[in-house]
Amino acid sequence: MRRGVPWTAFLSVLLVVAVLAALSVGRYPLRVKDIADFLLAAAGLKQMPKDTYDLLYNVIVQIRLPRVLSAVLVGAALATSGGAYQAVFRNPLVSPELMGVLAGAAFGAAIAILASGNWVVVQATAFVMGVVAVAVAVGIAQLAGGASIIMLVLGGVISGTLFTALLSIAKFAADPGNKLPAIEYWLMGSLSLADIKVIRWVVAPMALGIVALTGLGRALDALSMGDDEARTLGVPVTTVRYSVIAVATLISAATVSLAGMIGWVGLIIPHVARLAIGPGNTRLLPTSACLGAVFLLATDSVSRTLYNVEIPIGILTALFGVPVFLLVVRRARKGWI
Amino acid sequence: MTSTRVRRLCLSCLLAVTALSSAWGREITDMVGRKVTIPDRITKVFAADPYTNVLLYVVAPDLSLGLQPGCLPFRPEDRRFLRKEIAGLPELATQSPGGEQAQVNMEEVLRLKPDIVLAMGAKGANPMRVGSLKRTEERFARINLPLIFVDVDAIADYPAGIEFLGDLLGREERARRLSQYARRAFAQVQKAVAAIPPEKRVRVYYAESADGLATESDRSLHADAIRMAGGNIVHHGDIKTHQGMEKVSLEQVLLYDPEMIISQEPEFATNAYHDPRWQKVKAVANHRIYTVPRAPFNWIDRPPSVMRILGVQWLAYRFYPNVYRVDIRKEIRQFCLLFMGVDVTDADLNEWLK
Amino acid sequence: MSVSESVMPESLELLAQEVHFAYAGRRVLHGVNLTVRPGEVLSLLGANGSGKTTLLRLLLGLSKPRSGVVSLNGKPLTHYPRRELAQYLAYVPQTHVTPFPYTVREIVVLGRLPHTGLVRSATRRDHHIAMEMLERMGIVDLAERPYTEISGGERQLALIARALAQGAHILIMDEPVSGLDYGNQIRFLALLRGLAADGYAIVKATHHPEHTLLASTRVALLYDGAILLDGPPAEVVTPSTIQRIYHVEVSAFYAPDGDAIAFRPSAMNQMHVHTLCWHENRSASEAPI
Repeated sequence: MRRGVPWTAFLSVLLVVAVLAALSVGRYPLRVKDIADFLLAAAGLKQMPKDTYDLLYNVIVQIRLPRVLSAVLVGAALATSGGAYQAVFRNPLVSPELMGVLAGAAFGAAIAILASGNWVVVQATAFVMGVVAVAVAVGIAQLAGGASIIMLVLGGVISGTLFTALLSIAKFAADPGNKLPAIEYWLMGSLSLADIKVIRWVVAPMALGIVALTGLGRALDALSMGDDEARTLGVPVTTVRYSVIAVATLISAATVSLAGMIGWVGLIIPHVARLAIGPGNTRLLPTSACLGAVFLLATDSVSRTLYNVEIPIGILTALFGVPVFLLVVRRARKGWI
Repeated sequence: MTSTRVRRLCLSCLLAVTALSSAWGREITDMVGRKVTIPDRITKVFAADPYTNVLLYVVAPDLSLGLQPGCLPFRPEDRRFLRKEIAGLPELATQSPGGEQAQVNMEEVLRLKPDIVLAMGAKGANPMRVGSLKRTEERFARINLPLIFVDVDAIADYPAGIEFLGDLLGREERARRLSQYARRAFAQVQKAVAAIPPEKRVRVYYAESADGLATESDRSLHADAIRMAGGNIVHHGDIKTHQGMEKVSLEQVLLYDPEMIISQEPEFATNAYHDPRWQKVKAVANHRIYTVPRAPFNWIDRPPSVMRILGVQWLAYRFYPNVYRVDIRKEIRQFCLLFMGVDVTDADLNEWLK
Repeated sequence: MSVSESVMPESLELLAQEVHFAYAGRRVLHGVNLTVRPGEVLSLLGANGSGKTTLLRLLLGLSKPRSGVVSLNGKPLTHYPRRELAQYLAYVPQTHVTPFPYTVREIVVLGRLPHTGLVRSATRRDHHIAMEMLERMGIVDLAERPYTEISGGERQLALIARALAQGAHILIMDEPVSGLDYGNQIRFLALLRGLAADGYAIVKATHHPEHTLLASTRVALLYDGAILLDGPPAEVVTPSTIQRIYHVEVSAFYAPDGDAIAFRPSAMNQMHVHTLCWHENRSASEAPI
């Protein structure tokens, strides 16, 4: 583990560079000079003909920027909630999907597409059903006898299976010519769905959620020792557990609403972060947030730039994620570093 | 036995044999060359996919057992264009053209006892085509009903397909009128399009989703109508699947810079005109987004049906109003009356032509 | 203990009074009375299923008794907020493995949670205290090693360091030497004696009667949910009591001064194999070896 490296500075610089790089790539060919000129003109330091300025503004600020912001938010939220879940469940192999939030959100989106097709309705229903699915999971755990990890996992598996089955019913009921492609289209996930208005709505709650999870970092450290030990260290185990699940669920559901289903980020990024900075959650969670943002910026840039057709981002996160994960697993033979 | 009785017996036997043989029906050759025996009188027809569904509705709606749900208009206000007779019929699940996906319930079909089953099938040695014919045949062989393939693969095939179906179902007169109209309409469109040199062809982007970022490539079957009407589709690419709906980024659309956008979802036009991100696209800035009407079926795609005879004219009118000189209002009226059996109002026409 | 906050409170006393506990319809503990005072090493000796672990959990406040009360300095445990309780009572579990490679120092610093609270980060003083406790345990050179890579004995020492870092003076341990090799076991017991001499109160559940002779100042015998005997090891741990709670015959060997120093099972060859007795009511079936 590398200590003594100024991590905060490094990560901040990395994020800024990633954002700037993402803003400068895209199908519409812009030279670096154009972008630099634009930034100067925007700051009032350079003159530029109005047409050119408008065009650059349109591409960089109106088209690319919301997408970049979306990538940052979604990547950070997924990675942080993944790390938090891994701590709460004392298991390095869990991800936000565990409690059923993605299955619920997918089902919500499917029925909204069947019933209405209006995008706002789809996003809202996806969010609500994602949260409902986790509530169902927790409810099942309570029914089966409590807040222990095994019970929660059980509840999550049951809830996830239930909503996946409901999703299949919805797909079956959808006609193959029209609604079914629309559902499949949504399920592939894409960062193009979010526009600046939606982003303005969600940025504060999501940022707050990430901060809240980081704040519970030490409690999560204690929790990963074992329930009894955490209690005897003064940690209110049940409260912390449910709070973390609630916050992580809310921000994961929000990412589904923003961008559809994007997998792998919540699973692998915390591992990469742990490799770099160790398992202490007060540092791990913000690091995961930053690395998740960078990862998603990179994959989204590839997704929308490589061909004239967009490569579904879920495919890319898996494609990039697998070799990263293999690398991590190799190092992890010594214990989940 | 008395001789009278013997005579009566022979007569009844003769009559029985004649009756039976006429129930056995006649032999016809379908459009892919298969010989099929069908009953003399056909009173009920099951159309096994969206193409034939709409075709049957147009040629002989009274013989139809029901409409496929995917064809039916989604919005209630479009349902008024459906014929009254058909409105009460059940929604029947069918298979996709080519038979890859089938939601058709065989027992349900059997229960309804159609006299024949119609399916889309095209001639040709193309292995994909041969495969889909086989699939459909196998599927319907299980219920032992006469299966007839109708070739309406390309828009240009419609006149022949309509006439074939008319002969088959005893609606020759009607079929002739429909196919004559179609031939005339196609000729008009083709004449107009031929007069436009390739470099002057309108650059069109086909937006299929509400966010406008799902589209078809220029070679996709879903864009047939646009091609026929002389549109120059901006999105190029190999067709991945028949389902289509390829995703592009907004920047890509910006790069394509289409002059006109043909949109399937009305929501797209409303949103795009107000969305700052789309303003730099010429088509949006010039307010040239045209939403495809659905009255009662989609005029150009999803499903790609006989409505395209009208759709192609509507597109040609949009693309080249100065060259395609027809009274489009009259054409639409006539088509709807002739094919759909509905009167359209001026308000409707204004809506579709705005 | 120079940096630790509190002065050794001589009056610190953990008391269990008439404690009853039942679980799933089974009576686990009944009428248990136990006092824990500073300077003691109290061993809880008992067979499997006698209620040792339950008693430990009750003493830690992890479970609540059905009737009776566990109190600290006269106040029932339930009246203490958890954080405050953690500053008096500490739990040293049997070693376990956490899936994540926290360093030894990070593990020990967690012991400062009751003082800093959930949200605040560990301060420099906290880290200082952690290092001090590690030094006290003699493993300060392991501070930056991953906890998952050190030996069982070293892990146990780290857990004790954590308990000490909590500032707690009552340490409650569950079979602490079970994972250690022979040498480490002896060294560990010596350590416990040293801590008691410094004024700590140690309560440990143990399976080893002989260890109680080495290190404990008091032994409480637990049999079928009740305390059979409670007193100095020499009085409490005898062949007859061992026979009573473990159903094995042993012979005692005595040092010149008369205190028992070792036990040896007698007549191993004629030993009968008993099925494990969980309840006193269940008669042991016997089968010759």
